[in-house]
Amino acid sequence: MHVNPYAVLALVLVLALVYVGGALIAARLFGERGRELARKHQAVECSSTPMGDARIQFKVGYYLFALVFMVFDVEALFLFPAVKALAEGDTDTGILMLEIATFVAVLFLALIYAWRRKVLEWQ
Amino acid sequence: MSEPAVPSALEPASATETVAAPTSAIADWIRDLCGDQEWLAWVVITLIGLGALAALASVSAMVLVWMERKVSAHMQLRLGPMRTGWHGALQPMADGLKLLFKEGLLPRTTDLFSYLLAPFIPMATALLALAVIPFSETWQLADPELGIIYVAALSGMSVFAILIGSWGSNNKYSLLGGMRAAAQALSYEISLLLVLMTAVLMSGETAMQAIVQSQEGYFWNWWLIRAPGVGFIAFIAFIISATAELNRAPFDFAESESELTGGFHTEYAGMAFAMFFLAEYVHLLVAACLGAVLFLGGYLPPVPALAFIPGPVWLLVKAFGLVFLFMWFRWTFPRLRIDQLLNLEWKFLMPVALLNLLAAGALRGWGWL
Repeated sequence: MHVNPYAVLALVLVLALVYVGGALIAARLFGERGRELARKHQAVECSSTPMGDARIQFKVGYYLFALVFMVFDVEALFLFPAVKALAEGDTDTGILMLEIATFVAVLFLALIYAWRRKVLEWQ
Repeated sequence: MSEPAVPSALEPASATETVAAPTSAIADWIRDLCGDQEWLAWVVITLIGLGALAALASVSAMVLVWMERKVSAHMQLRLGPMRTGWHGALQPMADGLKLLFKEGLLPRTTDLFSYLLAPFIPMATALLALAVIPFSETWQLADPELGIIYVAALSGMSVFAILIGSWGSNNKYSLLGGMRAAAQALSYEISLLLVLMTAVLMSGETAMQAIVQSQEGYFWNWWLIRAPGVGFIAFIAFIISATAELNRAPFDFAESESELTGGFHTEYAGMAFAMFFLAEYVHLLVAACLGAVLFLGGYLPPVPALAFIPGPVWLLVKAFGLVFLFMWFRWTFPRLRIDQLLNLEWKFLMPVALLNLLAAGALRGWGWL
């Protein structure tokens, strides 16, 4: 009997939800209940009363890295079909290698651009 | 394992087929019992497999926690846990029980949905990744055709747990840890993906089982050694990016405890924290198993003469060797600064991994592998 392997993996996902959910519920049932204190439910800030909201403006640097990441992550995935074709060996290797090298070279230009514009420097 | 001694190296690898459930002596016995009802046999075998997966994850996480504490203790000329059980072997069990009876705090300032969602994600990705690791020719829960891409996708998911958890906590330390972890995990994701591509190129396969089969024979057929230089560079790049993806020292920015109290899990207490902690170690096992599968021949013995020792033992021996390496790193290298971390990836590791991929392509394309 042949079953799609992803069906089994969906069952694994259910297993994970049951595992964690069960553990959290068990802790809720068996866990100790102490006195109700307003202090207990504050966010941790080294024992002092939290000042303001934690969700403040963040350095733009994080966002820039995320942008550069997008370029290269998509690139790595786009390389995958070419890699698979090369591994199977049905296509002419020279042409395929040339194509991959061109693609990689264009992306290296993007990296050099980001490098020169000091996106990769952490200020 | 009780198969007659057919020279299996000469047989074509049948792993590219979609195998429904592991075939082994136990599985065959269950199939015999169920007779015509094939679906019943499938259900029983799959349920046993799922149970085994959960047990493997829990037990190995406990063993790894104990091992981490013992290894770090002995590296610092301490003894580590000694009181509970033989050399403190029951310590993780005691810790788990303690966490079970702890009061689960629920800070009022949190965003409840994301705060409660976050502990589920790391465990889910860890179990999903562990499910495709082949422990022997027949012991594998699922073997999707695109196993490598699947694992890469899961490793990308783990950053969500940290980001969602830290945002939901509404705590400054958490959010700082989460942001750092995101920048780090995103960056090292790329070199990890490139290394996985290199592995696909070297072996010419994308399914996990087939990658292991491609390293059949003596240990010099393992991709670490067989692809001259390329395999070794890919292995080193894999180890570095895996350490970063696992948020382990020297890349433990997500919870750099000396700066951010607990990092992204500052607001989590009791069982919710335990889930993060447990999942971290399951991820460690998964990464080590993946390294063993891609570069060290997975469940295959180093020389065919040692094939009488079953495959799962070989895989676990190799995986635990790599785990020891990860633990060794932790006590050897001090934590980097975040700009050093990003420079290492973008200006060194990523270009090297990319050029290495091209080299592997040339080797494979012109038939030198």
